[in-house]
Amino acid sequence: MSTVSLNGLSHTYENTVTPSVQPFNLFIDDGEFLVLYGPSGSGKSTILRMVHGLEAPKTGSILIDGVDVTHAAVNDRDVTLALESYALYPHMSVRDNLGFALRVDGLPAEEIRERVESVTSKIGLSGILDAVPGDLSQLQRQTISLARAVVRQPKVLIMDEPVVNLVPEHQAETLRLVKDLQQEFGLTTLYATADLEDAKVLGDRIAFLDHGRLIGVEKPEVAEALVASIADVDS
Amino acid sequence: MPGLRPPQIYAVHRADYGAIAELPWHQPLREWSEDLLGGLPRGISRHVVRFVEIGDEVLAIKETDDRQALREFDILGVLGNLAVPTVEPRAYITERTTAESAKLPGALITAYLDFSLPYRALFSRSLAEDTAGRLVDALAVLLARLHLVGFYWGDVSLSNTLFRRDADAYAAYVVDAETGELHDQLSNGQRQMDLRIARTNIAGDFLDLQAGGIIDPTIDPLAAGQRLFEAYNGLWAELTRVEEFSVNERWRIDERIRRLNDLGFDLGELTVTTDLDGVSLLVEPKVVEPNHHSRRLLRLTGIGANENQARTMLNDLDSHRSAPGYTGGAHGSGELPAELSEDEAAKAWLEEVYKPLIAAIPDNLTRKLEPGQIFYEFVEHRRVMSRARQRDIPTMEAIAYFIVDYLANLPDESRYVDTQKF
Repeated sequence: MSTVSLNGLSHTYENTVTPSVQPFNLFIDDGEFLVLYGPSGSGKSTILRMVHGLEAPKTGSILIDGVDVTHAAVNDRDVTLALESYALYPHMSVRDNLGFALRVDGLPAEEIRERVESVTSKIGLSGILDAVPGDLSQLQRQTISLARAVVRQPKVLIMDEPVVNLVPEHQAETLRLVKDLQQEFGLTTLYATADLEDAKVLGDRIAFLDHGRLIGVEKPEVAEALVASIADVDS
Repeated sequence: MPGLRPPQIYAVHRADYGAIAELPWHQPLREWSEDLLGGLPRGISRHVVRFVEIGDEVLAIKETDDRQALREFDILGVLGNLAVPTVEPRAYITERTTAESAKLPGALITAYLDFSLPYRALFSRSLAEDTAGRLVDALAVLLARLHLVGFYWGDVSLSNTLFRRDADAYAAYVVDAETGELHDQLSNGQRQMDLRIARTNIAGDFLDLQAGGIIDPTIDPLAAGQRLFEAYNGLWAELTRVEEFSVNERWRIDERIRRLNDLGFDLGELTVTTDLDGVSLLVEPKVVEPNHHSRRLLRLTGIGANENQARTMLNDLDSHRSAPGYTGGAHGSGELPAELSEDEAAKAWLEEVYKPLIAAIPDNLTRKLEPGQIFYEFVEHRRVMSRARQRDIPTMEAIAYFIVDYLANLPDESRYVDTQKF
């Protein structure tokens, strides 16, 4: 659990003149669920990618827990993208599907066991730890994929429109799962979406983006009013 | 069926359109009749994937949403145009509905890559030492090639790759690009992220094979992930690093070019900058192109082959050319030896070695291996025979033994389709 400070952050893609993200300041509190909301091209994914380390900012700095990671390597940020690794392995049990990435990260077996059991008990999956993916429902598989990010206990969890490619009946369930996991583990989370309803359901606060500009950051209760005012300005 | 709304079909080749349109697009792919299917691929795709036979071709169909189908179709097409090894996109289907007008996912259709094998199959079919390491090395080369053209994969894994035999190594092909992004140039962060994902996924791929009892428990899955990291970083450094030489050390530029050639790359463009004092040179490869040996073989003989197969053929060609007293069939007849030009030697080798071998393969054995791999296996078989008998084996004799003792006993690999379901 950590804080994230984005200070004067901006971004311009190579061979372009118009900034994809104009300079902005944003502080995300420890354990906060912050939604970056805006249409395609608003800059929300680019902000996530800068925090993740995939894009280098043109200006500004990124601090996680007060430590400047603006130019740190991807592996040195402790930021995890949910659904970063998609596959569930057919021969491996749920326990091993959840824990193998921790083995790659070099964690001792006992700590891996504790983390996996802690996460699965909190999301009601303890009973299927020894099952293999072929025995699971689509939703259970989706849950395991999301839980794989949580067992890593990253300082910051990021999600970039994770439900957009799901069939509608799984979208609502997955959103609820995302919210439950975030609240249960208190993970500082940045979540990008173009769906205002999703943003209102999920976010502790919503950062409104339009054409690369941060328009404002508000509680979900006042989201509609802010969106209406943005529409007025645009028209 | 009257009243069904037809889906939108875009096919690259007009000839494919009719057969594709006749497929039962109003049914979920999972429910398609087994009669249509060439088999089920064995893998861990998140999507339903099926093979269908259309004419004498096998096509792979992946069910995904409309937007993703179009996007991946475009990406695979661009990668193909950039000469990156990928499966070939053939069509995409959107706006599918059931008979009851319920929405169905779209679909992406790619051509089956002949003689390709999924990594899982290679462990049941290869007794070669260090199959795991060779697969990882092939994936490292593929990843470096993708990064050179600005492709961030986003889900690097053995599962998303197909492999063709390439002499004693493998050549890797992108088979799933749905998470990929094309950029003018990748940032270090994008390359680091691909490597991080690769290391995790490769370990997962091998741990899964161990859990299924498919590979030797002594293989270290975590070391396999680390091997990719090291192989990629070594190759990337050789392909891209800027070196500083003294102006008196221009020979080191030739050394750099030779090292790149040995790795299978040609230098298309090199930037050499002299410092202000005129004391040192900064040398930076700007354009490196893969398939150094394949291109040379193609130019000399017209044969298309994978890089290491081509290297084997070129070595054999050189060996044939330099045989004591050899002057080539065209010049032969025991007269004074005359040096053959490279082109003349290639022509002679083609007529005297390569063509007799390929022509001697019975029709029922041509699906065992690609011609380039047949040649490599033949050279190896001939070498082992010669060592055992302590003499050179004449070409036609070696071919006969190779076919009967070796090739006939191999499984067909032209179209590997596994019928085991997960």
